[in-house]
Amino acid sequence: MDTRQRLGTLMIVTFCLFATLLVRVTWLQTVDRKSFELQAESNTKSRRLVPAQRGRIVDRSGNVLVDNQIVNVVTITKSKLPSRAAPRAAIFNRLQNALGIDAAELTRRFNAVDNLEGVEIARNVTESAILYLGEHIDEFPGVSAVLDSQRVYPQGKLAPHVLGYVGDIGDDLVTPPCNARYQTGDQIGKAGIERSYECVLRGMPGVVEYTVDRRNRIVPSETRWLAQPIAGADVTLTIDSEVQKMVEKRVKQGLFAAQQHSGEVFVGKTVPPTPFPAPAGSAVVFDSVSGAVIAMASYPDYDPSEFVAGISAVDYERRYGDDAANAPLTNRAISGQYAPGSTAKPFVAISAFNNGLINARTTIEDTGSYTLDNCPKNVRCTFFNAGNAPHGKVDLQRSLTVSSDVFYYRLGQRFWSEGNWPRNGIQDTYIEFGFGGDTGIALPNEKSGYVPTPESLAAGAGKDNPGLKWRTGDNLNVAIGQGEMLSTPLQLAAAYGALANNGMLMYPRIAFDTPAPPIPTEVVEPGSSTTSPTTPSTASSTTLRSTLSSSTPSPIPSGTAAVNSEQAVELVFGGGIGRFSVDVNEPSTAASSTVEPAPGAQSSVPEGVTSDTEVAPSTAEPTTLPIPADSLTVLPKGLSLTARPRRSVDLSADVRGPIMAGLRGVVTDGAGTANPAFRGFPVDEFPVAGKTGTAQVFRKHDTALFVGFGGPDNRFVVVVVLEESGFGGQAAAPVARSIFEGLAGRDDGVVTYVTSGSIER
Amino acid sequence: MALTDTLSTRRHRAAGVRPDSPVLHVDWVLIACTVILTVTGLVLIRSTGANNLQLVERQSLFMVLGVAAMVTMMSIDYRNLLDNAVFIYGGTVLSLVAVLLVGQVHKGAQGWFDIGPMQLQPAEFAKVGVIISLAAYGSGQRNFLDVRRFAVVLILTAIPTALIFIQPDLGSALVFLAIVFAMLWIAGAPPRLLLALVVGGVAVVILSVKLGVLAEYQVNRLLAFTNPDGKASGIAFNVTQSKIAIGSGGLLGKGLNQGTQTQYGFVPEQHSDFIFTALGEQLGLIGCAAVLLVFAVMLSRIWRAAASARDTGGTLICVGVLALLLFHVFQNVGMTLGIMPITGIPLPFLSYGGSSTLTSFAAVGLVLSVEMRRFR
Repeated sequence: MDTRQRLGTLMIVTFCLFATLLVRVTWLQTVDRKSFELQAESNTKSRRLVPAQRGRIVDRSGNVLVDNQIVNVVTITKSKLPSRAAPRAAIFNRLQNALGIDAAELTRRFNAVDNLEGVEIARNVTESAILYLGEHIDEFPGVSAVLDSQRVYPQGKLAPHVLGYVGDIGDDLVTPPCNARYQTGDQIGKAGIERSYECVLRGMPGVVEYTVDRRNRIVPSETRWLAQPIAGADVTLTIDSEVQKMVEKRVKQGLFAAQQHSGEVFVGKTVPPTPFPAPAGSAVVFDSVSGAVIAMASYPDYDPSEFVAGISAVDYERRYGDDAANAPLTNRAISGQYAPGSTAKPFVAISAFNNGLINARTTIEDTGSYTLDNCPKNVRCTFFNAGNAPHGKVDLQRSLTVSSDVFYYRLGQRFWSEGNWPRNGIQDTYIEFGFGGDTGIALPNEKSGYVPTPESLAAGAGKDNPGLKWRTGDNLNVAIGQGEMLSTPLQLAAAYGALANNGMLMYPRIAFDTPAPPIPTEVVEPGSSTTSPTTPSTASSTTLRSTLSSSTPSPIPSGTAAVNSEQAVELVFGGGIGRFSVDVNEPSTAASSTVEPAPGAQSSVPEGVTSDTEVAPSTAEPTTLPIPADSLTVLPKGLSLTARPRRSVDLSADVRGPIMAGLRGVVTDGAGTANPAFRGFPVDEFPVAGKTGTAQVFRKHDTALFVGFGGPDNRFVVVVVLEESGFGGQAAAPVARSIFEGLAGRDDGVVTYVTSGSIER
Repeated sequence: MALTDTLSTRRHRAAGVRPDSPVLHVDWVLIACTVILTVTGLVLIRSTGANNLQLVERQSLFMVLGVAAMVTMMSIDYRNLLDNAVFIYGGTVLSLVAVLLVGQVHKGAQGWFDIGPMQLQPAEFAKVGVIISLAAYGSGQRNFLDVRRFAVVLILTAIPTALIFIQPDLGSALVFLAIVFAMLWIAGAPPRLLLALVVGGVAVVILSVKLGVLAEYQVNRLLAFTNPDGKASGIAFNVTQSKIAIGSGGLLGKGLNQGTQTQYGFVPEQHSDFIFTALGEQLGLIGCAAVLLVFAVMLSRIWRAAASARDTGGTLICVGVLALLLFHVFQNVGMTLGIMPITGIPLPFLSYGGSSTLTSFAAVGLVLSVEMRRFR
């Protein structure tokens, strides 16, 4: 090869190398372009959810029960903190002086969270401390001040079980109740209305896309909104604060009164009396016409503000966990399950009447005990009235007034033994009145109670061992609301509401109609599978941020005032870089379409469908009630309460008449079981009627119940359940009386335990 | 070319200049290529950050100095340089020894003299020095290289290469292998000896990795090439970000001063070794192809100069410079495209850097000196 040939080879090599480069660069910039574009975007583009202003919770008069408060929060960004121990400790010491919190405590809080950015170390920091930090920002590298919106309870510890509380989203992030836009560290409703109306209260978080450079510094000019936050709507409860306050106080007084007295523990034989523990109770005031819950109290209660700044797992477990005394977080009005006792008798009477076992004039001789027909050997065959008291000749009306067990034992045996009647006739009526199924109230953790049947007993429900055979005695227990049967106070309220409301069983309502939860606007995803836009790793939980470097006072209104639609809220991101303003708009979805959250706060349950599958909502067309000029039914302007009748029960005037008379007699008749408790009550001005009940719980004191109704058209149903407090007529009826007095505007503020008069269950 | 030559010849003849005068045979296309590339480089350097006007100013100064160096090299008859190659070679080796003794360490290698605000990298100038030295040795050898002469060439090359290698600066050392390989090829070396050279070169690289001669970051760079997704070092990050920048540029690019990779600093060393990524992201395939085309034109002109050189020495000079630039371009651009290991050598004329720019201009000036004197 001569030089020319070798030069030619060199030329070819050169050409080939250039061709290689050209092919490669063309490949990268055409074939692979899309992938690299996405990678470039994910390098710099990051998204952060900006929570919308959470809606308030107000009572039916517009009194704010749950509000928002903007507070200063001091956070530390781990990545910006000096890595060496000595300067780090110096910063914490300076923070101790600035914040007045022990440096060791600050360090503990800081180390408790494994999060590279924005670890909260102090909340509710004073404005002067924030100003100091801002002026000495150079001494506090990595320290930021942010604004956060937190829940505040202007009425204090009122109706905590209804309101619920918010907390860190935690595991709820996996399947959040609303369909979009949650991220780690978000606050979410954990209980009560906060939970069931989460989607309404929460609104819709905005989405901010921001651009960061190589060092993760935000490029302010590139920050933009992909979606504006939509403020949450207020939820107006049917609760009346004044009545609620009164009812809570009465329940507490009733329990306290019971604790001053003694009774027997139920163990099947006579034992010496011991003081009633009376640890817990609940009460409901229910509007039988509209289905509105006017008051719902449960004791023991808790202070929701304890959850605002977060509660440690240890504290939570100790005070509110499963082993905590008397489960103060439990809303006993919907989650407490009690044998209804004698309060179940009206429904047994209705069942017997409707099935033709008795008419209004059928009587029975009550000798104080009842012995089964055809009693087999070795089986308990004789059942007694409370205290073995004989009531003589008893008809339907009288059986309720004096609470004759014998009358209902007889019915229980006849249903089971005679063969002419449906064997589950009593149970069917219970279920028709809503027992054994959720009431459908828009509160989480509602229990459905239990109506035992031969079939359910055989299936093992309600007992530890399945396959048990139903005996006559079981049917007798069902007939007096004892044994395995369970009901919640709200079920009793709804069922008695049907009695009062001419047979119309209503779905209980806890809140007026709310606008439909906002639907998230479409936000184009970055597309890369490697990024999760709704949960960026740098995401921060804080709602509204300012920075130490801006020493100007926050433009966000402080105090408890909610941000209204006209106010432009200036949001400032941490790091002192980004700054842009946000218009918090009205919810974009018009308030014209109204929905009620599905019962039990499960978004998967379609509207109007409860676990009670026999319900046919279509048969009862919702109607907006005419609201009478009653102080408890006046609506805040612009609100509606769509009545939701559940079913019209079989309640003819022929049976309703004696039942109402019998229930009236409970209160007014000298032999009435609640007559001592209601002595002196102005029944002429404010008619009341009701039924006492005493639920026996093995190895415990009796649970006292009273369910009644009163006021115009018997509109207001009152349920009182006091655990381990004695007989219903002793402990519960006086509480109900004082609640009725409050409703009648004649609150004398006294609850007296009844120690005399008739005794019954 | 012929047409322009003819026209300019006529004009100069009218002015009384002899037709074989070097000033009549200056390759203006080659000069234009250097200027186009350098100006493009200035624009790209400017785009790599908001606060690098100072870099642009300094690079502009380097460009002026580079053009001056190029003109100086043109004005010197390359045969004078070949005659004095002993001194050039001696000076080259001395400077490399000196930098090992009293030089400054930058980027892990002891390869710089800090002279006031300027930093000189003798390894860059050594490339031109070695090209001249090898050309001078080869020009006496009449198209035949036996094993002994081959060995002499290797030793002549190995001394400066080794001095650079132990700075350690693997990338620059490899440039010498490319240069000597091309020059030996053109000088007529037998293919089997050249093959042995390649095998030896690879062995040296592998051994140096194994024996720990290289700085750790250099080893990481090499390994990053073999394992681009490796999370072990930040070097893989460089390659990834580099490819993202270029790939996301697409056909037309994102526009000057627009791309996020460039604007937000995701590509390390972007104004120097990774300048091609700024080109790829902002001006896209069109820009990349245009720059590669200008380089191709430049190398073809150098090739033409090699082919038309009056003597073997001139041819070898041109081939050495061609190999120098070709290796730099392929290695540097290939590195940004993820097909070559990261060795940290600049892209001639485009990358920011005084020594590199001066050397590139001087090398082209050397070629011009050969070409313009092809008739005399």
